[in-house]
Amino acid sequence: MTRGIFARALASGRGRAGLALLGAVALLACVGPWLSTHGPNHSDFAAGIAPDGGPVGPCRAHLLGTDHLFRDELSRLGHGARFSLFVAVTATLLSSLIAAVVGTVAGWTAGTRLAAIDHAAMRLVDVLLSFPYLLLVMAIGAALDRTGALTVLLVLGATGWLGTARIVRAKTMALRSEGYVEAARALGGTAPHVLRAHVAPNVAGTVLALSVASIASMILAESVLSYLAVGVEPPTATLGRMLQEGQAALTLRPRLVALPGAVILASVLGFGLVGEALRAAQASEDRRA
Amino acid sequence: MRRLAWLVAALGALGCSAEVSPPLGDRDAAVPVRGGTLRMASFTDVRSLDAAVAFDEVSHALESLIYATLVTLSPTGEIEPELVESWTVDEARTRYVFRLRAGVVMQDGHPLTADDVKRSIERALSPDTPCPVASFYERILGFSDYASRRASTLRGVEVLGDHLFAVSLSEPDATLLAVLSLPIVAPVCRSAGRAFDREFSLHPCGAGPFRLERWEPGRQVNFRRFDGYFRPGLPYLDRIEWALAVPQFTQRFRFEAGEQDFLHDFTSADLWRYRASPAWRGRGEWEPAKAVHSFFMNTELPPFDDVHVRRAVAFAIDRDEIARLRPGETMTMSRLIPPAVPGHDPSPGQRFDLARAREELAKAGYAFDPSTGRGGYPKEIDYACVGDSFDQQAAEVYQQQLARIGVRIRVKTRAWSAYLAETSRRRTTPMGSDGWAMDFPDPSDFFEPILSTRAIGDEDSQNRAFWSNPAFDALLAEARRAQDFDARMRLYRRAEQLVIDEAPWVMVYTKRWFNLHHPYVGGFAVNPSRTQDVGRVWIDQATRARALGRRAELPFSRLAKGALAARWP
Repeated sequence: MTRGIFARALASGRGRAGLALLGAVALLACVGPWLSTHGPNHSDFAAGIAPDGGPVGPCRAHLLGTDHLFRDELSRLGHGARFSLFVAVTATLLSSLIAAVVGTVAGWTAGTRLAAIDHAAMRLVDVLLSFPYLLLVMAIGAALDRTGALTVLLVLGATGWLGTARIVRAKTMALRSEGYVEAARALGGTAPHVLRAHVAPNVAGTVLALSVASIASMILAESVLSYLAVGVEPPTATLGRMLQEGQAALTLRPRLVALPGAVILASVLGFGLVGEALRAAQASEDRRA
Repeated sequence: MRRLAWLVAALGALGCSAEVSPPLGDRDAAVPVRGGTLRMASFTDVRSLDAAVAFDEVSHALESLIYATLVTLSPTGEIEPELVESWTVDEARTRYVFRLRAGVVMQDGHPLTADDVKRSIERALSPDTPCPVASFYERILGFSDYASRRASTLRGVEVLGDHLFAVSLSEPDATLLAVLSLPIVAPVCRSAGRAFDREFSLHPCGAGPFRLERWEPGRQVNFRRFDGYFRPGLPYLDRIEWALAVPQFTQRFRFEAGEQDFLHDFTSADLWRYRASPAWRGRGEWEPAKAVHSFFMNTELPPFDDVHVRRAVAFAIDRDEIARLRPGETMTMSRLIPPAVPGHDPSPGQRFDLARAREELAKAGYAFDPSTGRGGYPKEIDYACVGDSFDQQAAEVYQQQLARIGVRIRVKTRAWSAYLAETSRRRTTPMGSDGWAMDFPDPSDFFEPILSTRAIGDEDSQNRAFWSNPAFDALLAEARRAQDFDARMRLYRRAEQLVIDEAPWVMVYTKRWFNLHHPYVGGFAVNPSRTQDVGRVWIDQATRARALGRRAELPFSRLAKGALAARWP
């Protein structure tokens, strides 16, 4: 069923447009660093200077020019896109897994003699929703004495599942009263078996649609953290940091802001469009069912 | 295409134009005029307006408006009378007698007396006052007893009459008059009391040309003219509005819109644009380079407890690369005393030599083979700096340079307060950015507060390298006592050579500030010891009003045209 939803979503205009944008970003992440002969953290002072005394602009040695520290912009952009995609996708996988487990268990136990589990899970969601994740990142970073990719990934993963868990819970509660689920339970199916065989497949489409849209939020969140200098440590190239570093030269070298900004925009828009197409396909599937 | 043109025009209107706007006003304000409000801004915030406590550059500029000092520095850096009109010194050069100017009124309406001077000095140097540079005054007789609470008053400051006081020293000190020019010991009103109280910072009161009108921490500080100021006819301005914590690129747009009269904090790109703009040619003043920017290596922590590692690091730094990050503003420095300070030696001190760097590292037992990348110091070393600063940019370049000799550093960015706390705590931070800006034009300012053994403490240590060298301390003590200028300079050169050889610091660059103002601002002159000294400027309000009126009439189409002309670099 999920495969069908996926195929329908990708056949839509929005889905195709989203995939095209994501393909472009993925191409940049794969090919960008390969096209550049310079590492993302290497300052090429030998490349000379621009007429204004600043770092060189686009030229044969540096196709997209260099940044304020004379580092190759293309190489940093490619590594930045890689980093952002890796963190966003991995954090989303983590958060989706947590959301699916918590939401399904809470929805299954709601209104039963195990309702305490549901109450506990939903209160936890309430508490975490009220906790600013910026503060959490800084606290974890301070506790670990460094903010690395793993810190950012774990924080985003650990705080990104809340909304999805609530939706999965509602969906599970609705599925529980479906005839085929009640029949499976009446035939002696244990809770884990019924959840695995009958509930999970029906929840998977919703989780998938929400997850793809959530990757866009994760990319933005990671960029915000880097922009505010509470993300990974320098000199790691990230899209948010490139944006922040480029803003001081906004009037002189707008490309330093425009390029990472465009990659963030394309990634967020791409995942948003694909997520929206998946949601529409899922809604259509639900209506048919 | 039309849509694109509109987009570009809209961006231009929002201030994304590549060109800078021309100066506001068609003629220079050559003749002093009374009245008007000067609008200033700073990139940083201030923590306090209490003269005894706040000691950073922006605080210094603000304090110079509220407080008048005992003596001051002339534009050429010589000591001049301010609140004291004259002084004498005995033959042993250990007792100075000062006569206060008669008729000086403090901002609370009380006349200034010698009692106020003694009370203000004792308040600033009290052990309960977190004065960052109390050690500048440690040669005042009885300082150590007073600082350790063995005495309730500072014996070396005596009141001899209403307008007469004396300062006695435990030994000759060639820097006494220079340190009396600092706002730290400027007379404060009786409302400040005898003991330090944080509340005073909210209602600061001195004998300066402006009184505080309103202070919103992190946003704005406003001043109003003090009509009782002791210099007749001054100040010219009615008010000064000083915006705080305003990003550099925001300041540029405020300046161009006529919402800010004076520009001091530039992004590198904007500075270049103003300097290159024909409309601004011949305008603006450079301040002399009076700071040294460096990084420290903690000599109490491995691997920097080995002088060979420190020397290796010093040899591995290519200062030319750092200077290229902000051309025009930053200049390489390989010695401790900056160009604007007496005693500066233009000859090279620490120098870039990769072969020597690897040699020194090998002597320490960490030989490195650049062809294979094997060897070097085996652990990663933390380098502390303030985040989102030029220091961070420099650190990212040091990281690459040190990797060439097999020393790997990790750049740890911190907020300003966390950076200060961590780096000044004993046995905590192996290396990090450092530096010192001139407080008064004397080389002693660049040695004693930052590298002497006395400057070491378990907490709040000013000597962040925790470097202690008896020979160095002895040279400083001798230089402080010496009264002959040339002899003193020779001693400081020897002390400087010790720093170069022992490398507790790696001196890298110096920076100079550029000041720009619209033509309707008159009377600005670069001050030798503080930035943004605007206490005596005036504003030609008629010219400003005309210029702003003309700017308001500028049709949108012209703004859009300007934006469309901007090229994509």
